[in-house]
Amino acid sequence: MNREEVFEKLSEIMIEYIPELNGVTFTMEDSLHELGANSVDRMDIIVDIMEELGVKVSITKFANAKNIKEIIDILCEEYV
Amino acid sequence: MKKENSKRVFVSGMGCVNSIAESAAEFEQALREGRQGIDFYKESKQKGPIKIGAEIRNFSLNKRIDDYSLKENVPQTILNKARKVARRSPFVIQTAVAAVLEAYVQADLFQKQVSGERIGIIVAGNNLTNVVKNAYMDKCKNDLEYMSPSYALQFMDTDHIGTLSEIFGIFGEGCTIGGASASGNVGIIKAYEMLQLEIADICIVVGAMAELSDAEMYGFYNVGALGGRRFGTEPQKACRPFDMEHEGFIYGQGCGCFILESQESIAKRNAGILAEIMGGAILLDGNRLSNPSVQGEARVMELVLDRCGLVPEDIDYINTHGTSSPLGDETELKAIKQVWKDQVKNVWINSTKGLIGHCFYAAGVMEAIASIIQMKEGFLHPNKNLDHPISKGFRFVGNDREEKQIDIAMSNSFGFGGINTSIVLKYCSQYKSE
Repeated sequence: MNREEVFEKLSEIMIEYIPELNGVTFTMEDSLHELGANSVDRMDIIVDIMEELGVKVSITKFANAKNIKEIIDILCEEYV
Repeated sequence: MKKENSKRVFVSGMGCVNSIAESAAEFEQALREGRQGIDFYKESKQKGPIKIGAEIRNFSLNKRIDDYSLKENVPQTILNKARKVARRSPFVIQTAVAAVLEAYVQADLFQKQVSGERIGIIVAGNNLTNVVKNAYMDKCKNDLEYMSPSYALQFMDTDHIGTLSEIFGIFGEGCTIGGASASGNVGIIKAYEMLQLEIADICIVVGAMAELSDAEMYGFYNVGALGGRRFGTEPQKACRPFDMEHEGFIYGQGCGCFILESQESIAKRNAGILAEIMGGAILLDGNRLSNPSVQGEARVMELVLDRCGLVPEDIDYINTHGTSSPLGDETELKAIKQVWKDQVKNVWINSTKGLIGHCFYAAGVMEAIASIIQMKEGFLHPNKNLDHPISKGFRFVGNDREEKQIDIAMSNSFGFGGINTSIVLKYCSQYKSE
């Protein structure tokens, strides 16, 4: 999967957790928090995308990820 | 002996969801008609040992919130919060949100507000998350490393507390409490005590819905507590409290909410009153097993009467624990006879479980709601399937409702592990109708 595909998959998961995002345009520069995810939503979303990709990274690695781009960076480091 | 200086505590709001009603308002009509909620289970439960029970059907929190949106009595901010916070909540929590919403509206708590710190909450029930846990384990069984972070919040009963306090702005004392099948009464009694101590002016009591999985059903079945074998193909006949052909409890789903409020707070807010809680009592048998005790049940009824400054003759009506289990029903009648002696022929008796099954943790609250509805409206709901009572000399309500004005009611709940509880409610004529 390339970064665009990861972003697409992540977007699908985000809309599951935050239905208000359906139809809203957002980019990799946006942060989950700004888009309406509370702290647990954010973790749920990240664990879900990891499962989707078959990636296992400690959740603490994502603590400083400021936006979707940085989350995807961390995921793609691990994703083969 | 009634304690001097004991504060008067009233019920200012009620709400519920169960197998025969989606609200306390609907529950009144259902009780009046003697509607029964026991039926064949929806498919997903068919793996259990018994195929019948009283399930909640057609309940949707979103729909309920939409209905409230059309009326003016609930602020939009609360409804939006309810939608958002409870969106991913397990079904049992969603029923609690609905029940609390209804109770808040009735108590006029959105309009006639109290500081959030003076409102407490007790959620009665344990192991509220078994089904949730099973669902997560099914999802992650191949790889627990992908366990949902939400599970850390959702596996604890206190998810009820977090959710409800956030939606309704409750900042006072809050906790969960357990008493097996007596949880509801235990919650009411502890809330009553919270108000006595002036820790809060208002306490929201939620009798939480018990969502039992197949494991619990088989456990109850194998310990001989679960009924529904003899009348397995005739669900409406299966729940028969105090009848000769009773054989065990029938599972019922429901969530009830009671709002208890101090007299001072009611006066300050000029709020309506539904009933007074005169008092309650909890006593243990010192017995780990499931068998009830005549002595324990009799003793707790005597104790609550004493605390309320009453004698048995003052009680017009008992909403029994009455589960339809042979030993339970017999024990409770013997205990009532022990306390009331010759007067037993004067006190009306029914069992709400005959209509809505055994709601477990919610039962005490649900049955207190049923008692108050009956007191307010001047009737007693029928005893379903009471064709041949196991014992003579008791004043059972028959298969049709009785038109009767009750002044003081007692409601009993008894739980496995020797937990005996009883509360006393008094009719109050000053209530606002919706």
